Amino acid sequence: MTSPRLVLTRGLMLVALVAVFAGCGAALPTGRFDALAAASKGVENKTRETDADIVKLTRRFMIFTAQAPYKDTSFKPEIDGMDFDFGPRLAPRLAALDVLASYTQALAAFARKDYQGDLDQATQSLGGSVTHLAGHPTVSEDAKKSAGVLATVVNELGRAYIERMRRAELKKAMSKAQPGIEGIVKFVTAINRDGALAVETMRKGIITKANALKPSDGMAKLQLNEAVEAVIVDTTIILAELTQESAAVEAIGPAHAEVRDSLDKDDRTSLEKLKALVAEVKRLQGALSSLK
Amino acid sequence: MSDHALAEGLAGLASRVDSLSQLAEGSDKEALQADAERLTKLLLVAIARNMDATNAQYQDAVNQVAAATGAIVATDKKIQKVADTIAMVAKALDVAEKVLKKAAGV
Repeated sequence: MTSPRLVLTRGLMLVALVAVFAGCGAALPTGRFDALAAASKGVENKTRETDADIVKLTRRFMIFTAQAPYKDTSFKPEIDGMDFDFGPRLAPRLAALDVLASYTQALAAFARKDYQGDLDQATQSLGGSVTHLAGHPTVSEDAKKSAGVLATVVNELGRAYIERMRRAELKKAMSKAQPGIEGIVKFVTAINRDGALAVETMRKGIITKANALKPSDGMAKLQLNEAVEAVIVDTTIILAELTQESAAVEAIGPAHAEVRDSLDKDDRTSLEKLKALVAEVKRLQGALSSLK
Repeated sequence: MSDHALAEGLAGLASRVDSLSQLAEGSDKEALQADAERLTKLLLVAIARNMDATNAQYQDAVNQVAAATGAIVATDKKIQKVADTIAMVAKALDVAEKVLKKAAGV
């Protein structure tokens, strides 16, 4: 049985070790990890909204182009049994973005040392996201592999209580994950490009159809103008969103690399270093008290 | 050949047909407008298929439609009559639809 005195001695030794390690490197830049996680989640949420707008636009396209006599399938996005329902086609991209968001959340939780709470939750969430992505029939093999890389990296993260070890774990994990991130980004931006082409095609199709219509009176002309104007405004917004979302997701790879590289640097002030050291010591004290 | 060749080929053709329909009159105009609408929907199918990254038959479809579109572009300068153009567009649409159906498994 370990005596309280021995525990205290071990504790003091650990505190001394922490002080030595603090001289070699500062506390982890948890704020940067949090910012990366928040940015990834933000891209996912925004993309979800854009996808809903594309599905709405497809409905509007069908309203403009459906032909009488009507059938119960007249407004389905299809021609001769071939569908162009973009909802299911866009879903794998959202699943891929969810993988990216869960991965960055796991990194942030690990950097914060929240092993029991956020890290466990983020790891489970990542596992679910990867399974969800792989379950889509239209997902590419490259995207599946990339998601698998991120899941493996997070599963391999150990529970390092000493900061220097945690820093090394993070650097190793993030270096291994970098190609996976780039694979996911490539998959997402390719579908964004196809989505933009679909939006442009539907816009042109609606305008062409509207030009061929002959409104019966002034009021009908006004209603047609309003409908076409709404399509032009909405599609312009959707196209801008897709461009912005691609730019944002393309920035995640370099940001991930930069956060990893920042683990080698120490650009904080002495006071911040001191605060981090004190916080680390307190945390270790808490961990040690549970051993008594 | 890029994965977008089919969609790009159809988009080019749709643009050509749309321009021609604005110059045409009467039944020719109506025929070209109907073709333009059909082309737009086929183009949307091609874009949707393009998102099906694992569709193995897609590459075959791309090659066939690119060949058909290429044939139209090559003979375009010789076309004097709108009726000939309409017939050629219809032929290209049939080819595009056939390969898209194959890719879609319909």
